[in-house]
Amino acid sequence: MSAVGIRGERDQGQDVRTSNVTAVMAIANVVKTSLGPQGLDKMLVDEIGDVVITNDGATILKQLEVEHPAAKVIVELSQLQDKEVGDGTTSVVVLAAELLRRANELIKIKVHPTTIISGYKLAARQAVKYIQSHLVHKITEDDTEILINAAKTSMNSKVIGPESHIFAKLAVDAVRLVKTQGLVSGKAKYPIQSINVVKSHGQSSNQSELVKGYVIQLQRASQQMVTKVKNAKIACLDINLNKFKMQMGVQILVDDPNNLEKIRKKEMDVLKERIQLLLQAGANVILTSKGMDDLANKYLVEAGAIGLRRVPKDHLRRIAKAAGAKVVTTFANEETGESFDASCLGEAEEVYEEAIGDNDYIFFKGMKKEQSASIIVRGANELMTDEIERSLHDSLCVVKRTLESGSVVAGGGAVEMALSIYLDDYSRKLDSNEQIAIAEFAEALTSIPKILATNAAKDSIDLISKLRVLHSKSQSLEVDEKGYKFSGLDLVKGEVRHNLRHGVLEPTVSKIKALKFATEAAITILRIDDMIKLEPKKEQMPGRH
Amino acid sequence: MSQPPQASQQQSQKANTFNKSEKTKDIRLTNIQAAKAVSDAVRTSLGPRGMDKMIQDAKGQVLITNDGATILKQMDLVHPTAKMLVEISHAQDVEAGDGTTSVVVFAGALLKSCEVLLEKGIHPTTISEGFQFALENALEALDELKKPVDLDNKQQLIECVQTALSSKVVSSNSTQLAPLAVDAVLRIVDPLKPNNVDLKDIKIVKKLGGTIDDTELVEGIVFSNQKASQTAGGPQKIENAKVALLQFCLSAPKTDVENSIAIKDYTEMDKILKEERKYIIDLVKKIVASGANVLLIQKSILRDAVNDLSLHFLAKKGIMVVKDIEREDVEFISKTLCLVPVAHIDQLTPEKLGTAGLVETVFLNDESKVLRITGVPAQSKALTILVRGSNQLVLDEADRSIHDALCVVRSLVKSKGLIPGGGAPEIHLSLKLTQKANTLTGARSMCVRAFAEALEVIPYTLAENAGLNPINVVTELRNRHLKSQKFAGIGMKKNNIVDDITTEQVVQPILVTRSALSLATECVRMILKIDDLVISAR
Repeated sequence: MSAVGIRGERDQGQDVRTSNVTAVMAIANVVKTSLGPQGLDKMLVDEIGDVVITNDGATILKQLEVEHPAAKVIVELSQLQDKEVGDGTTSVVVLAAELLRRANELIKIKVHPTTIISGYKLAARQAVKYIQSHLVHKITEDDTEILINAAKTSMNSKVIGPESHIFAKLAVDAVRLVKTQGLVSGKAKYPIQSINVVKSHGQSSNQSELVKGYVIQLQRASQQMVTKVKNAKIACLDINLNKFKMQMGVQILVDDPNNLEKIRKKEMDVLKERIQLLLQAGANVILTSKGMDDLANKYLVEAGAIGLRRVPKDHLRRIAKAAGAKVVTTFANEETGESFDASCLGEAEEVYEEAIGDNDYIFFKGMKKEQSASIIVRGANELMTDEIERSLHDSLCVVKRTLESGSVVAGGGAVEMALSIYLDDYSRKLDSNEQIAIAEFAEALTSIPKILATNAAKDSIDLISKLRVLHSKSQSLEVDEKGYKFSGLDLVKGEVRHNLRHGVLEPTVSKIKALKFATEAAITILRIDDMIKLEPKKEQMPGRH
Repeated sequence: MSQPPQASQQQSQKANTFNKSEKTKDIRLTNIQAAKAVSDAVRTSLGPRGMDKMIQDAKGQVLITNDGATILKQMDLVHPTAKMLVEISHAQDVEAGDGTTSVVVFAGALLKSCEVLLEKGIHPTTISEGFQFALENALEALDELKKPVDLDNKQQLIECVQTALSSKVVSSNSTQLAPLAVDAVLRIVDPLKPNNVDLKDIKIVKKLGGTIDDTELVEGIVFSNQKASQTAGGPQKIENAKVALLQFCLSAPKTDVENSIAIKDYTEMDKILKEERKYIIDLVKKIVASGANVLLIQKSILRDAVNDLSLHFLAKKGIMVVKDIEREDVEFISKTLCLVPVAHIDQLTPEKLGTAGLVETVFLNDESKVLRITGVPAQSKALTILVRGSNQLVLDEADRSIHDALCVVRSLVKSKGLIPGGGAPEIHLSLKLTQKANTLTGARSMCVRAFAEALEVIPYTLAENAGLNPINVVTELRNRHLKSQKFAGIGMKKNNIVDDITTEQVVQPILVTRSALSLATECVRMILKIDDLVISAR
C-alpha cells in the first residue's frame, strides 16, 4: 500500500509513460504486418475455438482481449475510425503508436509533455490544412473510374485483392443504388446500412453478385407453399400466428367433455379468423417476426400465399419500409373486435425463393417505395465469406465517403511523405519549443510508407529516399507540373510512381480523420502521468486492524 | 515518520498509554503525512499545463480525468485524514465547482508548514488560531484584487469560463463550450433571486458519437435513451404538442401471482379477450378526450408501461408515446414543460398538460437518434445541454468539464467579483501576509508567515507543471508584486511571467479562491486538533 493509502497499485511519472508506450507499441506491432497491399492476414482463435482470419485492423483488435488501459484507448481508436470512416483502421493505430513512441523519447531528453502536446496539436492542424489546400484531387459524382479505383485501393490489401475489379464494381453500383436525398439538408445520402450483404459459402468468390432488391436468408414456413408470387402484396406482422392461447393467469377448467372440444375449436377459430382477415385484405406474402404454426400454414397453402416466420425484426422493418408496408402489431380495432386494414400492405413485383449453395433465400424484387441493394457473397468457406464481408464493408464505406466528400488523395504513402516534408520545413520556421515536437511528428508520418515497403519485402530505405526526393522537389517548385506531389509507392514492382494516375486513391476524409484521431489518441495517453489501479473489491471488506 | 500510516497506527494502538505525549505527536505526524500524500497525488494535475490521471476502478472501468474532485473520489482512500481532504475537495466542488485541485494542494502545503511549526514546539491550538487570523487577513486582502462583474458583459464571463476549462482535456474546445455555459446559466437566472441559480435547471445529456464540437444547447428537453415508440408505427414528429406525463401503465392489469381467472366455457374466452381490449380502448379514449398528443410514461417495474395493443391504438390516433422516463427526470420535465404529472387516468385533465412547440425524433449527424422537445413555454427556465463525444472517456470528461464551467458562471452570479488567475492572487496574498506578520510578535507571527509561504505552493506548482523553473518563477513574481504590479502572474500562452495577467484573459471568480482558502484552512485546523485516533474493532 502506498503512502496515500489506496487499495491498489499506483504508478507515476516516467514509469507510467513507459508502460503506456510499451503497451501501445505491443498493440501496434500486432497489426503492423497487415498494413498495405502486401500485408498479411492474422488467424485469431477465441476461447470457444472459433477462428477468424482477417486483415482488418479493427477486427483484429476487437478480438484481442486487451487489459492495459492505455492499450484499450488505442483499441477504441481503431473502433472509432471503423465507425466514422470504415477504412484506415490499421494505419491509425500504427501512426498513434509511432507518435507516442517518439514523444516518450523526447520526454526522456527532458522535453516537457505539455510542449510535445501543443506541438503535436499544431502539427496535426497544419497537416490537415495542407492536405486540403495542396494534396486533394476533386472529383464529381459520375466519376465511376475514380470511385472504382478508390474501392480497389481499399480492397488491395484484403483477401479479395485479386478479384478487386469485380468487387469494386459491385461496391460502387450498390452504393449508387441506395442513394437517397437527405430530408432536411437535401444533400445526397448513401445509407450503406441498407445494403444487405448475404453470405453463402460455395462456389468461388468471383461468383458474388449484386441483386437489385432485398435478399434474406429464410425458408418458406412450409414446403407446400408456392415458391413464387408475382405482384406481391406484403403484410408485415409482429404477431404470433399460432393457435391462440389465453394469457398467463387465466385457467381453463373443463367439467363437461363437450366443452373441451368447443374450447379447442374456439382456439383454432381465433387463428383461422385472423388468417382470413389477412387474405381478405389481399395479402399474398405474409411476414411475421414471430411464429407461424402448421395450422396457419395450411390456410396459407390453400390460398396460394407465401408465409415467412421468424423474420428478424430489423429486416422486417427494412422490408416494410422499402415495400411501403406498415408493421402491424395487433389485429384489434376500436370496436373490441378484430380487423386488418389493406392500407398496411406493401407491394413488390415479385417475391420468390431460390436456393443458393446450401441455403434457401427469399428474394424481394421491384419493391414499390425504395430501391434496395443486396450483395450475395460467395466463397470457398465461411472464414472466406466472413472476411469478404468485412472487406466489402470497408470498400462500401470508402465509396460512400468519396462520394460525400467529393475528393480523393493519392495513396501508397504519398500523403504521408508530402506531409512529412512539409511539416519538417514548417518546424524549422518556428522558434518556439514546439519545433522539436513537430519535427518528430513529421518523422513519425514516414513510418507508414516505411511499413508499407517492409511488408512488401522491398528495400524500404531505398524506396523512402526516392519518394522523399520527389516530394521535396514538388514542394520546392513553384508549379508542380508533373504532379510529383502525387508520387507514391508501387509495392508490386518496388518503384515510385504517380499514384493518382495509377488509380491508387483514398477518400480525403479518411486521411484527415485518421490523422486527427491518431493525434487525439496519442495526446490523451501523453497527458497521463499517473495511473491508479484499484484492486477488485472483495466480498468482505478487509479489516482495518 | 517514514513508516506508512497503517503500520504506525497499528503500533500506536499497541503503544503504552503512559507514553502519551509521544503518541499524540505520532498521531499528528501520521495524519499530516497521509494528508500530504493525498495532495501530492493531485498536484500534477493543477493548472492549464497539468497532466491527467488514469484510474482503473475496482470493476476494471477506466477513467481519465483532470478534475481534482473526481480523481480523489475514485481513488477510494482508506486513511481517515486522507478522507477529510477528499471531502473538502468535494465541498469545493459543491460550493464553487472549480478549484477542486487547488484546495487540496493548498491544504497539503499548509499541513507541511504545520509540521515545521510543531517541530518548533508551538502548541497546535496556537497554530490553529494563527491560521484563522491569517485567513481573515487574506480574505480581506483578496478583495483588493476584486474587479466587479457585470452579468450583461458576456465577454467577461466567457473569459472566466475559458480559464477554468484551460486545464481540461476539452481545452481546445473552450471557445465553443464557454459561451454555451454562459448562455445556459444566464438564461436560468431568476430575476426575483438574482444572487443564486439552481444548476438543477440545466440538464446535461450525454450521447456517444460525433465530436465535442457537436455539443449544443437546447431550450427544451433532449432524451438520449428514450425514444418515441415505433413498434406500431407511431408518429415521430408532433407540432404544437400537448404533453402529458403519466405515472400509470397503459397495459391490461394482471392478476396477482396466487390468483387466477378460471373459465369454464368457450364463450368466456371471447369475453376475456374483449374485456382487455375494452379496458385499453377506454384508456385511450380518455387520453384523446384530454387533448394530449404526446405521452411521456414513467418507468415502472411492476408492469409493462405499454403493450402492443395500446401502442397500436395510440398510433392510430396520432399520439406519440415515450416510455421509460426516469423517476428523477419527472421533476425536471414538469418544470420545463409546466405540466403536472398524472398518477391516474381519471385525473388526466386538459389543464394538467404541458405545451411544446415541437416534439420530434432527430437524427444527429452521425445517424444516431435522440428525442427532442423544443418550443417550451416562455415562463419555463430549464434547458438542456446535449454533450457529444467520440468515446466514453472523452464524453464523461466533457460532462465534468461542462459542469465545472457552469459552476464558474454560477459563482460569478453568486458573488459578482473577478480576480486574476495564473497564481497572481496567491502571490499577492502571500506578500500582504508577510508584511502583516512583520507587524506581529510571538508565535502568531510565525504562523502567519507560515501561512503566507504555504500560499506560494499554487504558483510554484503551476510553474512546475508548465515545465518552467519554479524557483525562478516564484521569486520573480514576488519581486514584481513588491513593485506593486499586483496583477502579475504566469501566462500560459507563451509560458512566461506577464505584467498583467488579465490582459491574457486569465480570470477567475473570487468565490472560487475565497472558498478554497476557507475550506483548506478549516480542514487543516481540524486535522491539527486531532491528538488521538481510535478505530473501533468491528
